[in-house]
Amino acid sequence: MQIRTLLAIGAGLAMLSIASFANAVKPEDNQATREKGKQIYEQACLFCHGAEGKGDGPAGWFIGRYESPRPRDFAGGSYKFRSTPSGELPTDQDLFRTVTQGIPSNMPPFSGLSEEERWQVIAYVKTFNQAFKGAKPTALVLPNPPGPPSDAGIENGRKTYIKYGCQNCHGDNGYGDGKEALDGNLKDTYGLMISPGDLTERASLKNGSSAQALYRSIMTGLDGTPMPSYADTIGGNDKDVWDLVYYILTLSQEKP
Amino acid sequence: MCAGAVLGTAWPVKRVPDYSIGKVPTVFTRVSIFIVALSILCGTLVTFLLAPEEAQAIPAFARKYNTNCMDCHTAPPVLNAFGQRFLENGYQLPGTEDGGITGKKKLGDLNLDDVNQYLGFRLVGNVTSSWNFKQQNPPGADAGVVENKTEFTFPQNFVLFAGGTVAKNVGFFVELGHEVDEGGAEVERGFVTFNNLGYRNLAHLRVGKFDPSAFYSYVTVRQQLNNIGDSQTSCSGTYVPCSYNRVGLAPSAFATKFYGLYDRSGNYLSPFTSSLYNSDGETGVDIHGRPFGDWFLYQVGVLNGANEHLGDSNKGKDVYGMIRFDYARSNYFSASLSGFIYQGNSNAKVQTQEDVNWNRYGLSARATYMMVDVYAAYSVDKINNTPTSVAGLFDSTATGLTIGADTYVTSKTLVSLRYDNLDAGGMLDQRVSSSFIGVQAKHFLRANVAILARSDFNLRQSEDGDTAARNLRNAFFSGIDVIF
Amino acid sequence: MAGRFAMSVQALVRLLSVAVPVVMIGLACWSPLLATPQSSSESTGPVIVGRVLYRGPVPAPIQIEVNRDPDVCGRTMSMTTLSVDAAIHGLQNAVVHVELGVGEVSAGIIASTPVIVQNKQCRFHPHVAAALMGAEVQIINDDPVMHNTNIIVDNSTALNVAMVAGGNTIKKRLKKSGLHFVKCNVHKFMQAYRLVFADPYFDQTTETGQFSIAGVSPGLHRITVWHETLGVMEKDVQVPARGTVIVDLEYK
Repeated sequence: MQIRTLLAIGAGLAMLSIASFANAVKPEDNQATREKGKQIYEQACLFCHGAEGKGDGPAGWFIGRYESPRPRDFAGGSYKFRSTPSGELPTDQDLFRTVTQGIPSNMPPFSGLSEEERWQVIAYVKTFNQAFKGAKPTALVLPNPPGPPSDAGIENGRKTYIKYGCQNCHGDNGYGDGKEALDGNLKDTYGLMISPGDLTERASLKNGSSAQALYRSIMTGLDGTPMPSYADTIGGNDKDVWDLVYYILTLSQEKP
Repeated sequence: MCAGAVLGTAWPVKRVPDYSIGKVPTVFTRVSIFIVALSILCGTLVTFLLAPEEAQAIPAFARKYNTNCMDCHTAPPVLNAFGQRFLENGYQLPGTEDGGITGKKKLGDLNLDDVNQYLGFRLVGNVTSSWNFKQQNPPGADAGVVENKTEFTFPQNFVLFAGGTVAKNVGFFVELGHEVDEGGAEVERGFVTFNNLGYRNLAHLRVGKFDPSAFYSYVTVRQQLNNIGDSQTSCSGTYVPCSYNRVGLAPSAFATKFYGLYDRSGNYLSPFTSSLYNSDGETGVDIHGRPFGDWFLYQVGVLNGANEHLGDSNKGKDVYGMIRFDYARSNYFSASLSGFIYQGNSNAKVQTQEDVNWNRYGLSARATYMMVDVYAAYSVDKINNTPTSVAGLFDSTATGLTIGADTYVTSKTLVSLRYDNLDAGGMLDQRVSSSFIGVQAKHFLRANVAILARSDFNLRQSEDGDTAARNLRNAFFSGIDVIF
Repeated sequence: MAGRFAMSVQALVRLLSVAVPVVMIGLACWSPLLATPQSSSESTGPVIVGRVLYRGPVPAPIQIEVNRDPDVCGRTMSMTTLSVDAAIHGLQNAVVHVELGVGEVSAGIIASTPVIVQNKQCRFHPHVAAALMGAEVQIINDDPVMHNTNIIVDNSTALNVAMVAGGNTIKKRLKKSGLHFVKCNVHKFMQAYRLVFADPYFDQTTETGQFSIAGVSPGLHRITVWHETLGVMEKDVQVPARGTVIVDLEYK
């Protein structure tokens, strides 16, 4: 074949593939998207999160009953699982991650919805809180893990665990049996009793259990819970945090 | 030590006073009936219960979605609004058609570890049953329980069940059960679903042996107070009435209600067994959907007929239709109202071996607000072509009313109440009406492991004491309910 | 005779042109030093002054047994939630706010005064403070143990930051208005309050229960008083076009 024909075919294929990528691109946040999102929300999300997004759906009370958690109040509540600083709104990517993966032992994953459907429902969920309008939540810088840990690093991580006060809630061995937890002092921002994560059970960690996810949890804190954000107090020196992450992974005795 | 260990897990945690404004320190009170039940159960349960951690022992659907039983259940096995829609959608998350995507591998890749994604197991029953009668048979008289006594009876029932999706919009459910009293194993239910036919939520089809009342406001197979079987004095031969020492304790609205009906093989139908639309399992097809939105559900079905568990020995089919109105939006509140008509077609016989058409008309309602769940069902059964051979001897109308409520008094303790009134029909010389109130406290040691104590009181006991319904004063049970 | 004592008109004008400004400047400089409520430092808008009073029984301070880090926090801690000046029954640490009039819109004043939250000897200092929305909050840990400063408003987290021993001072902005509850999850007896308002018409009472709020527009306004145990009280006040209006607010 002639070069020209080949080039034409190549260009055509390239355009086709670009077109298919375009479908995976997030839809524009406009009225049509939000309308579609509302239809999905009312069939899939409303029963826990409530018709006005306040977390008061008819099925939602039973998840925690008299204790935390209740379903997220989109209208005014703080968001637990974010990549943004403490007290800030989540990014759209944070919301997408939660809808796709679910929250272990609280919320099922909605990967059964297509990507486009998930973006649509997120656009609708954001309408429940006026603060999302015009807001551009900016994620913290979350670097890649620095590499396999050394023994010295893990020992520093163990010291950091105490310096950062983790044992007060998570316990000396990470079971979630710290003194504050056993005394029943830990409450969420609604005043409901809340339990700290069991660091020895990776699958149960709600914000994820990879090294990156643990780093994110420590740096951003889980808003709405007693888990604080460490990003500001360490002033940019995150070596201790990575050592801590690798130490925490040893608590669950699986290969990091 | 044993009592202390079990009591320690049953006692709610005392909360430390909160010093913020206006908050009064609270302390939860104890339920004293637990002392009795727990000490009975202690020896058999302690080692079993101390073992697995909560995260490891979760039934099939919770495993598949890596979530909590309570996403779908108010208190297992009763479903909340989300769980009901999951069931209606053929075991796919509501609003999705995710069968074949979440937690699945293609057939051929499956291995034994994957089986636990589908398989579940339930062990439930009363460990002890304690009967209190007004009059007792003298020694050497008829067999059957007619003495004040306590017996160990666990387990009465265990079931192996498997359910889930095999492809997008294709679901299945199989339940194999063993009733210790009756012996043998039985396919209690087994069906396939085809979902979202036409468009989302227009029509879902079930084919096989299923419980017709699965989408009713008050569902037979999901109860807090489990059925207690009746006790027969003598029951032999065909087309011969059975006599009862003791009534069965099942919701009166669901019960057969007639004394003097027989199935097609001539076996006497227990007046206390759940039947027709409210049967545990019937073979046929049914279709349901919410074509106009969440607020309205329809259901229509055709069955081989009452008590024809597998196969159909006559041409007549039973048909039914049900409609349901739902309100489930916010404020932790949902409510539903349903009504059905069930038309039987030669679905029972009388003692003279003639066919009758046994119909039922029912109404049910349920409301759930935070920790309180109340429900009621009322049904009217009619035999509409009473044969002349029994004319004047047969009351062809019977009704049953059941009203119940469950509430969580703590996050782990559920208290249930149920009132039953059976206004019996059938052969005038056999029929006896009954009314009972049942109270139960169920404590969830884990989401899927519960211990319970229950008491049923006969409200009609002050009348003549020598019939099965009148003679029983009350009964006390303690039991366990474990679902894997 | 008139000639001797008479000044020329010119001289008189000259005298007055010097004396009057001097006297006025003198008055303007001296007036803030006059402690009586009758004084007015602003000659432009009205001023609302007054006292918050409480004559009821004052409970003794609560003694809390400290079971976390007693070497830093002490073995017991004394918590005073109600502090009243014995002489004039003035209530300390109440926060008074004058709400905007009907239809009035906030002037959008930029907050310049930072709000301090200091962790020292297992207490938050100050215990109660009021601030303008958008103000910077500075969180400092002066203790050799880890604290977290968890600020909650409207059932949601405004800020929850860990403060390791010897860590940096943290500076953030308060973006919401309302009652902010400050606590530490490691030391449950540490509590403080920050009241954040969208407009600058607020004040915190002194030890003698006195407050002063200036710059409010004339007309009918609602005053609300907040106290951590006595709760919220409201009163309507008519603010004149200029001058001082005295309001006494008594908790019953």
